Amino acid sequence: MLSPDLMNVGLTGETKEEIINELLDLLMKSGKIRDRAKALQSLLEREERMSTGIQDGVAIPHAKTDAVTEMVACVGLKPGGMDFQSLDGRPSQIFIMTLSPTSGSGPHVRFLASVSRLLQDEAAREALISSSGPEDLYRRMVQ
Amino acid sequence: MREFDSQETIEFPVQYTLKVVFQVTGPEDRHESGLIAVLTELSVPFGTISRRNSGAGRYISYSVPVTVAGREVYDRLYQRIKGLEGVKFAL
Repeated sequence: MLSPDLMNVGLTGETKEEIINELLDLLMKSGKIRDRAKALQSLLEREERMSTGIQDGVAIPHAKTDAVTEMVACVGLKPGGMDFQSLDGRPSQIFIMTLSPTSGSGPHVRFLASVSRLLQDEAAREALISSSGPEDLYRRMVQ
Repeated sequence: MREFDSQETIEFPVQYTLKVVFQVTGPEDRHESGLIAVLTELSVPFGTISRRNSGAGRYISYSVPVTVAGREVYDRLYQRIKGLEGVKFAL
């Protein structure tokens, strides 16, 4: 599901919407998003209900949407971080975006569980943040 | 007599240890993955998950420190946990 071309180590957005758009542009490279506008709408509606900024500099923007027929995911880093309205108030630096079809939840559950387990580990988070480029970030994600 | 009203007694955000007990119905990892996915989907910050099996191995309980932002998240969290396969109860 992940590949080096779905990694960005230098997100430039300064607002939540800009970051989501930047990540969505990255996800478009998967070639699996049928309707970008619908995907964006699903992501923004999800954020409006409840921020996906979690804690420890991690945010996992996600949504279920008809814009995809299979799960897609990408990873972005924002050096220095930005306010993603996390409960702990810390700026988010690691962004993992995923879109899943509205039906079926197996891959969605496994992916969220897998990345959450990884990002619980402070050393793993630091390793991701210090990635030198997309290839390096990909390698550290799948290690 | 006045009935207990949890809406009056919980002040959000609230930090506590969530406990969920599953009847083992398949690979144990599946229960844990389902629980983590629910927490992640609802953007609930959580700490290290600890796990304990019952003596006979029929049940498995998970304890996980969580921070719940508000009443809506709190209610949805228990709704979603209730929907996980094999859940016996959650506290």
